[in-house]
This record gives sequence, structure tokens and C-alpha cells, in this order.
Amino acid sequence: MRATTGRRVLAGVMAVLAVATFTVGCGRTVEGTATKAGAGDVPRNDDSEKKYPNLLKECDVLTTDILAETVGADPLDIQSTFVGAICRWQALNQTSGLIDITRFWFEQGSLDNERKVAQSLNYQIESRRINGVDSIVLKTTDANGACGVASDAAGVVGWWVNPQQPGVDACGMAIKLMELTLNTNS
Amino acid sequence: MLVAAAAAMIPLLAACSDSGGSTGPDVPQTAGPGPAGAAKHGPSFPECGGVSDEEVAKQTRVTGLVNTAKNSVGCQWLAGGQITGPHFSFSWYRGSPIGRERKTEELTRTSVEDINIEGHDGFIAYSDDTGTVTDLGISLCEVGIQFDDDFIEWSVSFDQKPFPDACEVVKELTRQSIVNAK
Repeated sequence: MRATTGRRVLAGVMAVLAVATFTVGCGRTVEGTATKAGAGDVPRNDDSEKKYPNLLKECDVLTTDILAETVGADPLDIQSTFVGAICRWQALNQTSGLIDITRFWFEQGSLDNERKVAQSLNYQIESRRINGVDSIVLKTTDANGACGVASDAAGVVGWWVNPQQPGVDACGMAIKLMELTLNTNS
Repeated sequence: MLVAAAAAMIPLLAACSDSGGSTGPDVPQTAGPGPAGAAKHGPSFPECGGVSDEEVAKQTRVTGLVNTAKNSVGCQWLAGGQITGPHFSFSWYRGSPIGRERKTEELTRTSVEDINIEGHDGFIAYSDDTGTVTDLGISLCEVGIQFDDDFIEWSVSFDQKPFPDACEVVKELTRQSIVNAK
């Protein structure tokens, strides 16, 4: 689903509201019956995160700081755009412009199925092991060198790095993100 | 520039999330077979659900869209390639419960209802911000459609008026993808 953080706020009032969001999200305990957060103001999703702490955490296996660092961006220059079993972010690489990052985790999926899909999409497929885990590295015909990786982990987990300009080592970044993901388990 | 401004919020929010406790089984376990292999997968979809950049521009009436994340799990279209404008995306989940996605929608959206498109069941969710600072009305609408243990989701989110009926746009894009399934 579409991430509701940040971009729903117009740029002109963004800085002010950023502070407000932070304050409300961390500083106050709401008592009584749960009501829609921010009712009458900008819609917020604080309630669901408090009530169902695991539901929105699928995108947080690696912190945005680590994501930013891996794709050569300042930790301030990354933002979530989509959350759930598929998560998307956009980061600003300090020399190569915008890079979109996608993470997926299909717990009932399989590496075999991901390989089949990659074949049907005519992607270039390379089998390899990452941290000892069976994986595939995928390349599309994208002129900017988009690259993905999928690994056999509790279903299948994957990362895609889609640069908006050529000259980025997208495969290196995607593999690094997977190494870090698999590391967090041991 | 606007990206950097928007992104400034993230570390703060991330800090909130982290302090909320991070226990839970959501981290994938290596070498765990889990329920893998038991999944019954649905049909195959072309890249972007078979919907072209031109078709997305036509349906959404937004110019200057860039397909910023075309890959095996979907596509994302952003104006000028930047996150500060409208957002449109197609996502294909393979072996992932649609119920969890729907639950997340129910916790965060104004409305979530059943829907059937081209004979396939799913949900349609929208957010209505009428009366808020942004006051765009129903500017965000998302549809998820189930195919056995798989599902697809189209997401349409406008950021400024005027814009076409977001739910009509997302339903049409979903319909086209379903028709394109093989």
C-alpha cells in the first residue's frame, strides 16, 4: 500500500508538520477510545502502529540509514513510498541522482517461482549463493542497469535497485542489501 | 531539493518506530522452508501489469511521469521521477496473503470495501481528506485483487487538484492488468 508518510504533506508546510508529526508520534499517549489520528488535521496513521506493532514493520528489516548508506545517499535523502510485503523507497545518490529501492518478502513464495517469473519476463538470471543462501541475481534490459536479487529465505525475500541514471553498480548495491538482510538473522 | 525536504521526516519517524519495540517474527529466517512450495500461484503478469507508461499518463491525466522502479514485482510512476508529486504503482505479490494487506488498509484508510473486477475478488480502499489542510477529497485509491495465493495491487494517489476520480482510474488500470494476465 501507498506509504502515507511525508508526501501527503504539501512542500510549503512540510518542515513545520514534520516537527508536529514527530511530537505527536513519540511524545504523547492518547487515552480512551482510539480515534483516527490527526482527525481534523492531516490524516496520520499513528494508531495502527501502536495497536498492531508488527503489521507495518515489514519494511523495517534494514533501517533507512543502512539503505541510504548502501546506495550512496545521505541518511536524510531517502523516503519510503510504498509499504507492505512490497516496500519501495527513493534515495538520492550523492553523485548519480535518484535511485529507487524495492524490497519484497513473500513468505509463501519460493525462489523457484521467482526464477520462473524472471524467465517469463526475459530477465538475465545468474544463480549464486549469498551468505550461503541460494539466490538469483536478475538484470533487466533497463538502460540504467536495474538489478535485483532474490534469496531462498522463509519463502523468498528480494531487493531491486533501479537507478534513474546509468553508471551505478545496482547489482553490487542489491547484493549488499541482501547480505545485510540475511546477516540480521544470525 | 523537495526530496531532501520530505526525507527529513524519515529519521524522526524511524526513531519512533524503533522505540516501539522490535520483537516479532517478521525477520526472514535463513534456511527455513516455511510454507514455501505449498503456495498455489495465480496467473503470470507482464512487466507493469502490461500497462504502458502512455496508458498510465492517459488514465491519470498526469504529464511527465517517469517509470522509476520497473522490475519483477511491479512498477512505480512518479512525476519527473520524484516522490514529491502524484504516485501511481502496480505491484504483484507472489505467495503473500492479501488479507494482511487488506488489514493494513483497514487500519489506515477511510474506507475498505469488497470489489469484483473481471470475475476476480478483492478490495478497494480509499482515503478522503476532505476538511483537512490538504483538502483534496478522495485523492488516494487502491485496489487489490486475489489470484489464489497471489494478488496484485494498483495504487493511485494524486497530490493536487484537478484530478480524475481516483477510484475510477485505479479500477480501470486493474481491469487492464487482469485482462493482460496469462
